[in-house]
Amino acid sequence: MQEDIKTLIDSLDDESLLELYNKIDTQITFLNNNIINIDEDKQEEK
Amino acid sequence: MNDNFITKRISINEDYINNYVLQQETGTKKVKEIFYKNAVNNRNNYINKELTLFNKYKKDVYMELIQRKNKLLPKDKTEEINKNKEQEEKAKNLFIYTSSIFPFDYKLRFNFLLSKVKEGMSLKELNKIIKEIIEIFNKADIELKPKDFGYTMFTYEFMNTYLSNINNNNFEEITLKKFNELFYACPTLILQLKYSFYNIIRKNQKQLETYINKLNKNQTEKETLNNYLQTRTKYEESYDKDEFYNLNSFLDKKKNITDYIDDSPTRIKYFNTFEPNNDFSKLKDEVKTTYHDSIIDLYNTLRTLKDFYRYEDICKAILKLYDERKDNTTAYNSKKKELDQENKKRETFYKEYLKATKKSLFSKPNKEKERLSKLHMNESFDKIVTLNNEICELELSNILNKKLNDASSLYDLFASSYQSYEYLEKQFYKLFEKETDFDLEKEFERYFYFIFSPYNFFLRKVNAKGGYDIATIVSEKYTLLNINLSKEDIVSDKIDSKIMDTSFIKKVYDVESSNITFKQINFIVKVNSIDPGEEIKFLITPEKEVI
Repeated sequence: MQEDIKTLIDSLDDESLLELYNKIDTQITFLNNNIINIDEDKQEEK
Repeated sequence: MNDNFITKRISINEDYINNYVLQQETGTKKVKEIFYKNAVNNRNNYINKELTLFNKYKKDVYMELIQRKNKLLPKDKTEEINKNKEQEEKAKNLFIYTSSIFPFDYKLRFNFLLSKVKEGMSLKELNKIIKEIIEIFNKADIELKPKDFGYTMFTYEFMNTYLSNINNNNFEEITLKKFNELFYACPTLILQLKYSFYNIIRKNQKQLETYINKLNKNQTEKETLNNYLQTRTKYEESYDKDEFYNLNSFLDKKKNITDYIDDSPTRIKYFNTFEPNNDFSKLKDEVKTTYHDSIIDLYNTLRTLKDFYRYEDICKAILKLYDERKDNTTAYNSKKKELDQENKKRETFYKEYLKATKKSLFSKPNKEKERLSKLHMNESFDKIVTLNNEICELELSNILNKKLNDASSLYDLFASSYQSYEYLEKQFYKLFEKETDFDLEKEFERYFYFIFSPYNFFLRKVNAKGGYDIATIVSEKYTLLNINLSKEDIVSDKIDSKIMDTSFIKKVYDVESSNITFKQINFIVKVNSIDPGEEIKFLITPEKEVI
């Protein structure tokens, strides 16, 4: 996978690399927002 | 950006997570709870794995962005630019030394130093200025001695102590003691010291002029002026086109990069402003080149014109003095005679003082005569100050009579104002003292930059007596160069807006002729605005990250 990302980075121009960074950042936010904390769910039910 | 394995993975993740079944509709409450808990755990595990992976991607991409940004960062050439500034300063001084426009006392900066000598100033500051003046005399091989300061008995007393203790460790205390001792008998001591220096400067004029002649390295006034204008243009261009400073003006948000990139509506609007058909894009390449040169020239001319508006009142006042020169000549001669007579009286009072304080075999000091001579001296000095203030304008009018004629240009008129530093000083205070950042020395510098500018064609062309309309002259010149500019656009209360328009276009040209592009600046600005989070920031050592 490491090789893949390196190859990908090298193939992108500055603008595309910035675009990729923003997509990754948005994906991280999406992933974080979708983690469910069951303990919090229970707390809310109470 | 084309699809790649990351964008594909993002798409798979979103699909997988959004469609992941977390709840079972059938079964008991307990069964449903167990199903939900397991599903959440499974999905959380999946997300955490993806988060680890994407945080790694983020770090890798960010590090690459930083590396690419660092490769683009321009070198800080401040040292080189400062050297250009020093060259300009040297060329300016050489021009001043060789030019007949400036009187000898202006050339040696005596006026600048003595204009700071004012009642109420600190003794420390006064001592410093006196030291600087003495050093200028020393450079001209003139050693000032206490006897040179016999302008009044008070100036002699003070300067005798000053010069005798100049290398004493307790110099400040000794001079302060002497100053306080004299101050009660002579409240105008500071002013008397100032006049005493004027007197010494006048007496040593010949030798000081010989010294100046040695400094001008046998160059003509024309050569040194051309050299000054060239070094000034070199410095200004090196600064305006410098990649480091230009980049920083976008990084510190003084300028907005999105306004400057190709096809930006703001950029298009500014470029169309001065194009007669309001469409710069339709111009042929060779016309675009001419447009480029005309706009740069216009920008510089408008800045000079703005300063013309600033100093226009001085121009009018000098013109009035020139017009009144005939009437003023009689008044000047009479006032000059009065001043000469008062100076003779001053010298007499000093001689009386010396006689009254002299001890000899045949006479003893006469305290009463000493007291009277001091009293008369102070009265005489006050009259000299009043007469000097009254003669200032008349003297300039008298000089203008010799320096100007009815065919003189505005440039000649402004240049002749240097004949009276005192007059210019008074005008600057009158017109600009209320400005919060007013500084006399900086004002003199700005005035010099305005008069001796590579862009002052309108000053040189226009006859001072002829009644002028500079805005029309300037707008006509640029209309001929196919630039859309009306007289109304550049009147004094509208000129700032046109300077701003030309300044924008000039900045585009400056950057485009340098070693950095707006595309690169845009990339650097964008990368700089990224906040990758503390964890990733921590991985970047200061050596790797240059912002």
